Amino acid sequence: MTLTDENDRRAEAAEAAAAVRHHYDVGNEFFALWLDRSLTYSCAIRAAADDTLEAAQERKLRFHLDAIDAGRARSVLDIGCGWGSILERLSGERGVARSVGLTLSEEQAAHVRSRGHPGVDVRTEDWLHYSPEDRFDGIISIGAFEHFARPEDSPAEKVRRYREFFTRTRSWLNDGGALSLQTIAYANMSGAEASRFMQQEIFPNAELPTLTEIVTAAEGVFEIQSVHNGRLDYAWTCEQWARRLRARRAEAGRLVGPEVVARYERYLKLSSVGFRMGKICLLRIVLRPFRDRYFAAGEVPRG
Amino acid sequence: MEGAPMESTQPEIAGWCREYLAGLLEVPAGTLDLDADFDRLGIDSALAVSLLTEVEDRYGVELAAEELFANPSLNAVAARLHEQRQAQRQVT
Repeated sequence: MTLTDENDRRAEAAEAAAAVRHHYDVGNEFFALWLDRSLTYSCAIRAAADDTLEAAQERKLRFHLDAIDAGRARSVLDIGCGWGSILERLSGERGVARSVGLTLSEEQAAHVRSRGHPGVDVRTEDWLHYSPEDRFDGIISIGAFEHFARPEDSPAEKVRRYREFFTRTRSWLNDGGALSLQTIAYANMSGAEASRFMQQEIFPNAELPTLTEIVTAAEGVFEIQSVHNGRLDYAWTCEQWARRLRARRAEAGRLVGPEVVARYERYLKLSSVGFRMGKICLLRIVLRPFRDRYFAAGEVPRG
Repeated sequence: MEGAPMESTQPEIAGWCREYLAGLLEVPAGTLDLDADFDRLGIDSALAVSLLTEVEDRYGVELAAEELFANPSLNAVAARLHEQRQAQRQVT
């Protein structure tokens, strides 16, 4: 890599971090007003008509923890750890000895540290710059993939970025490990329509993947074990958030100003309509490393 | 925005929604059929959200995005809004 590449890369990483802060550093207190108690800011899994947001979020967290077999894992990496709902469960109910969480938001990192979960290390670091000393048995990444590419990227450039993510995460995993990924993706939308949709103020600098780009980027690196589309789960989740935020509108306005509140309310409604129309979808993808060796002693292939 | 009078009838609500959408679509209000589904009226996601937001402000009742899909015409939305306002009135 040339020096210029390295500088470009640092500038890009700084922009990505700024975009993430724009969205998430509005303040923990603001999000606490309308997210569920675990502060999970991503699609829940709704199983029954009378599900509470809390229960549906817990089911979602369980889905990812089970996907990587967290109960048997010695170490787990969470890329885009948010306010730490996965890290808390790894450390607590699943008894994982070592967990690392990566986030670009200082506010989120400070919040997770303040909880003092045993065995949890949270780092304000981009996955592009992270290099772990030891491999992990599992990696979870929920709602981070949406930030990897940029609006001006060509489809080939997007695939290159995603492939870099898969190549790196593959190299950080033990052969028998798993990567559980959750991301929003473009679905029934043209490219031009898609960029107008995303450029609506909340996520500047973000660009969503398509399922094809993800599959192409993982080719030869990971085996895709399962793909779920939870777009109606996300429509419902956004409607729950919009309702809760509206109910606390006055308090929220005092914390962050009425313009920011209106921007979030619009974003949540726009997202929910987009999911219902199928313009965007919500992918939960479980991936397992392609292996170099097929007859490693005593290991029965899982999955 | 000023709230609408509590006694607005269902046709008045439908009429107001039609005027509002016609403004956004830049077409004469009369061209929008009150019973046509939103696909036929050319309502995209951004317009749908603007409508949800405006009716909330104007009529003071919440309309989840889900309800637009369950009631996908101006008359159906107006009926839903009217029904919710009546229910609210009885509570307060």
